[in-house]
Amino acid sequence: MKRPTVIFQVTAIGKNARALDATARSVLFWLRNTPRIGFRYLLWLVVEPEGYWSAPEVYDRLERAGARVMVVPPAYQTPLGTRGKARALQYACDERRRLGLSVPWVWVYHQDEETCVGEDTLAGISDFIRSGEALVGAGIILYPIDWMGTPSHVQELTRSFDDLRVLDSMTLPGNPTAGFHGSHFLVRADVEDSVGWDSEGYAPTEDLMFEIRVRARYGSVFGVLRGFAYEKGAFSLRDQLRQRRRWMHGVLHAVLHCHELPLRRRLTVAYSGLSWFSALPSVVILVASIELRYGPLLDVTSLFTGFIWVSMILAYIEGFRLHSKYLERSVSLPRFFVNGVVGALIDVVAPWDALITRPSLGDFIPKDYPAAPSARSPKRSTAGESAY
Amino acid sequence: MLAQRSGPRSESSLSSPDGSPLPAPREPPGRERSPADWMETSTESEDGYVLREIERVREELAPRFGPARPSRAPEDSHRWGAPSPYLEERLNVARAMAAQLAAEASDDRLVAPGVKSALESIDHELGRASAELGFVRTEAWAEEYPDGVSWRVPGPLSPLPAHPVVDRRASAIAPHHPEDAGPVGPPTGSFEDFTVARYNRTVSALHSRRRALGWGTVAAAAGISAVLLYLTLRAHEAVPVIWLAILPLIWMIPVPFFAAGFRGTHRILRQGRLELPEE
Repeated sequence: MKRPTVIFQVTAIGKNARALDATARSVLFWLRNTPRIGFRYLLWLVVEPEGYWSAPEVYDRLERAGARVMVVPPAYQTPLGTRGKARALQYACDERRRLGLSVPWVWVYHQDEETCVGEDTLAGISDFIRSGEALVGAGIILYPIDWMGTPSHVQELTRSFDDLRVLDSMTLPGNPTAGFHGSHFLVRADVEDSVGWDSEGYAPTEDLMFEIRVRARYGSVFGVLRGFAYEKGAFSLRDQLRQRRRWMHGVLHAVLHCHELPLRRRLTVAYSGLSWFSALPSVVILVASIELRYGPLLDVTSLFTGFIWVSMILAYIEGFRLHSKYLERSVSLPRFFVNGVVGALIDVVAPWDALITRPSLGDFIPKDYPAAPSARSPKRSTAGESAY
Repeated sequence: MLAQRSGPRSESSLSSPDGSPLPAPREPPGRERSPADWMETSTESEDGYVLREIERVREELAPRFGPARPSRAPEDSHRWGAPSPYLEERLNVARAMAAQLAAEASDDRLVAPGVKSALESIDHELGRASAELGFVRTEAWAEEYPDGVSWRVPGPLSPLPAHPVVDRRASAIAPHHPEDAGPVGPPTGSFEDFTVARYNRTVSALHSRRRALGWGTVAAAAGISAVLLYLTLRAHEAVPVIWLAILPLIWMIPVPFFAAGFRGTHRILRQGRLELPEE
């Protein structure tokens, strides 16, 4: 039996240097302070050139502390010519193969630049590897970092409670409600590298494509990764809208362009997208019902309306309760309610916005607080720049 | 250090925010130029390459990035071996001494401030070392690894950037220095607070209210639906035209999704497998 090794891989443009710095420090800190973790580790920071040059002193400092900074060469190309984050992820795959790390005792823990870990994250990873029950694991993500109680932050709370649905769906054959994460997931290196991240062109949600491919090749090999990851929500409604829009672009891309998607799975992914699309018409029809009279039809629909409303409200309440031990800042109930409604409206509008916009490599979401002035007005995409 | 950064530099259009040209980023280790590549390169490109290398070396020698980066020499990549049979005994002796010193320091008002907390931290760390030693001895791993991989397990003296290497639980004893909180500390959510104990409290609380959540959802949903149904029936609306009639059906689209989500959430909670063992 070989001692497992976990590669903590942060894949990002790298422009949010402070967020990435905190992420790397959280890994280093808890690797030293978590008892009984049964694995070795490597910390890889895979960034784009412009990210590295935005704060070279930060990357050099992290490198001295034990991280390995990997700058994706501008000339690097995958066989299928994928772009964006998938390109950087594929580059890391190639590096693992070159170093002989595509082996069953090496695992890769994927992080975004703002995915901090805790003692529980590392204990969960150790536990997951030790159990040997699955090849891929994902867990619950909380959003307590820099939490300010803004509409986008309140809306983010609901995602943590929704992660329970995600985990259940992910572990079921066929993933009926299309659940997966782009961060806070652990995958065995040989599995990841055999599947890869390469695809034709730009895949807005490379994580969904990856999950589809792993499932198609290895079957239902997904498990629950215990322990939270700790991230931060979008700082502004505009960023929240762009983030959600990208997700919908990804769903549409998977449904329309992913050849590896079986018909049954294609239908479930399409239905998940359709459910999201239905939110805006539902709100419009609700408002219109004041003037228009729908009559006896409401006798049927009202039976289910209560369930949907309660489910949505419950996501806010339970999302907040999940975060309550981590948030040092609280907001009043009226403000929480108003911000929740505003945040929800952004989520409602986002899929329709995706229909009238095109996937963009230039969708850079600031995560440093306070956002650096240069991050607020990113330059248009260059060869290496990408939406992560 | 220079060897690590060697290799051809691709022509890059990178520029700093103020527009001045920046040196190209480092090439990955696997892309280093081989002798065969050199033979194939034209003289003109070689000249350009040499000039770029000179420029790069000049940059390297400039005090731009602060102190030199430690080399990735083989001694950097140490491997774990079997712990010494005497290690536990030595740890116990050290721990006893640390505890004794801490006790004596509490009686002496002349002891420099911070010594007592430092001794308590040492005691705590020694306790952990004993626990980890026991863990290592119970785990029989083969030591087989691919060559050329640097296992970056930091030593006790390797630097942790911009943050004190102190256990959060120990820092409750030690004085807190806000200036050590790293660059621009976030308003909330420091990663040092993210412990297994806190995680377990959170998920245990969630597990404990699972039934209340489930039945509460059903009851509240039924209540709201009943009220809506009552209002609808009482309104005595006429049957609408057919195109209008399909509109409320849009409300029904996400019902299976929410139902699956409700079932899945409770299935995960019912399995009760989210807690982690604590130290």
